[in-house]
Amino acid sequence: MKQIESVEQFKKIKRRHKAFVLLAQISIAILFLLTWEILASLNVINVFLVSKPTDIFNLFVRYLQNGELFNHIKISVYETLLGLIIGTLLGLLIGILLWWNDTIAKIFDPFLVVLNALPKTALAPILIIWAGTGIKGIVLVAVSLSIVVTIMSSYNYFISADKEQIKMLKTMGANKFQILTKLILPSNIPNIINIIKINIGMSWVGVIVGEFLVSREGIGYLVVYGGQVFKLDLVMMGVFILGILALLMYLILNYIEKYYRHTKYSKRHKV
Amino acid sequence: MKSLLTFEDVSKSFFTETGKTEVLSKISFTLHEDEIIAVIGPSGCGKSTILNLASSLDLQTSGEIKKDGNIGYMFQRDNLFMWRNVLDNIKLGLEISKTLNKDNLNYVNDLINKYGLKDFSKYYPNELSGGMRQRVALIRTLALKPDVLLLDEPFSALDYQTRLFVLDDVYKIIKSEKKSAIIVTHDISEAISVADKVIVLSNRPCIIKKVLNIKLTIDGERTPTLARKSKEFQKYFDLIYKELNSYEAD
Repeated sequence: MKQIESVEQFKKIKRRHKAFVLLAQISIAILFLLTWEILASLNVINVFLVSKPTDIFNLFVRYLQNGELFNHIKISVYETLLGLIIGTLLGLLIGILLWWNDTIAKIFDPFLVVLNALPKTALAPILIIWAGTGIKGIVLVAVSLSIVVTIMSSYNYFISADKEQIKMLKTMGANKFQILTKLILPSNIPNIINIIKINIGMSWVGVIVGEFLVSREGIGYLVVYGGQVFKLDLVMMGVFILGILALLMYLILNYIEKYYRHTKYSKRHKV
Repeated sequence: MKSLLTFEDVSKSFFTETGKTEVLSKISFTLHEDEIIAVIGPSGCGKSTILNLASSLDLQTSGEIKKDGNIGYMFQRDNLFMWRNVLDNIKLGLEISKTLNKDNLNYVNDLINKYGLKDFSKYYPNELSGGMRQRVALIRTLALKPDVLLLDEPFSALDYQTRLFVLDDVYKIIKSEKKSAIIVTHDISEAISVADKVIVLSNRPCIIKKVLNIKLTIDGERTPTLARKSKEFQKYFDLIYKELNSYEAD
């Protein structure tokens, strides 16, 4: 092993390692697409069943040019964000309510367990009938997926707050609301960010399932339509776009989390 | 001398499904101005219950507790909030009691300057040493201007070296701010080194077994470290050790 002799050298080695990892990731992606393309062109694999990258890209460009794609993306992202925000906020609010009142928490415990174990997608057709077939129904499906997880995990996070810190606040004369705002919520911000990360995935599932069932627009509609008319390029394109959108949302949240950690938990002071 | 806190025949029982547990039985003592009382006893005998009653976190089953002045509480751990910097941690009590006014802020600033935290006021707890964190915790308690400090096995989460240092530090601050204190501990030498009076408790249900007035000959100003070197220290240690060990024989 080589001995590290200076900070510059240490930084250089770190940089190189980072560059190598990134290069490897890009290479794997390119290699995958290239193999797919070549095998499809040589008719080793059935283009009708699995499509091929150039076809998908051409289709992507066409949808991009006639502006249709943006509409689909816009509507799906809108529904997902709405589902995410409503599901997370409502879930947190109920989590707080359960933390606030032990008896309510005990009463609702078995119902929450059942709701959590139930595959919520099974409820989607009913929810859509209740809320209507437009955006409302789809958002409701998304909310139904994220809200139960949010309630259960936020409640568990809230009740496991440090007992001695709660006691300390009480010796200072704090009421329950102050304990909530001064300790429970701020100490759980990293956990809440984690909940949101999980909910991004949940909301996407809800929106796509909702769009499968009823809709004339959105990525889920594109995918299900592509499947019905056996245009597998369209299905693949939808899946790719979904992947990219989910990744983007995740990255944005990661960035917020990093920013929060940097500003809130430590300011590096050089003495 | 003015008495700040008086326990008169205070008893406390807890009720559980398996029955009634009497934790304290007819405890009586008085804390005077400028006095430090150490409470020592076997573990689980209800030492902390005394502090919970004194700070009104809990109610006694019988007896009377008279208080004259504010109570401040210090815990085993510093309990600093890691998302608040030193200054914001110290201001926590003022925020809770909604007394974040100019006078109190000035007072907090004075404390911060006086006890060498000025350069660190924007630091976050995880950037401070264990001793420094305890000092911040003490200043946070002092910010509410308590007359009586309750210390519940303080610093027991620290390593021995740091603990001796912090004990001296905290003792000096308590004395220079002219506060009274009740310190609960299971460490005999810690009790003797800081206290004017040591109360030895028995096993459950705990009664006061012995009250020792500590008189030490010390050259110059008393600090816990110097107190450990006084010639009477060993005598008190043996006395308390014997008292505590007599339960084991029971």
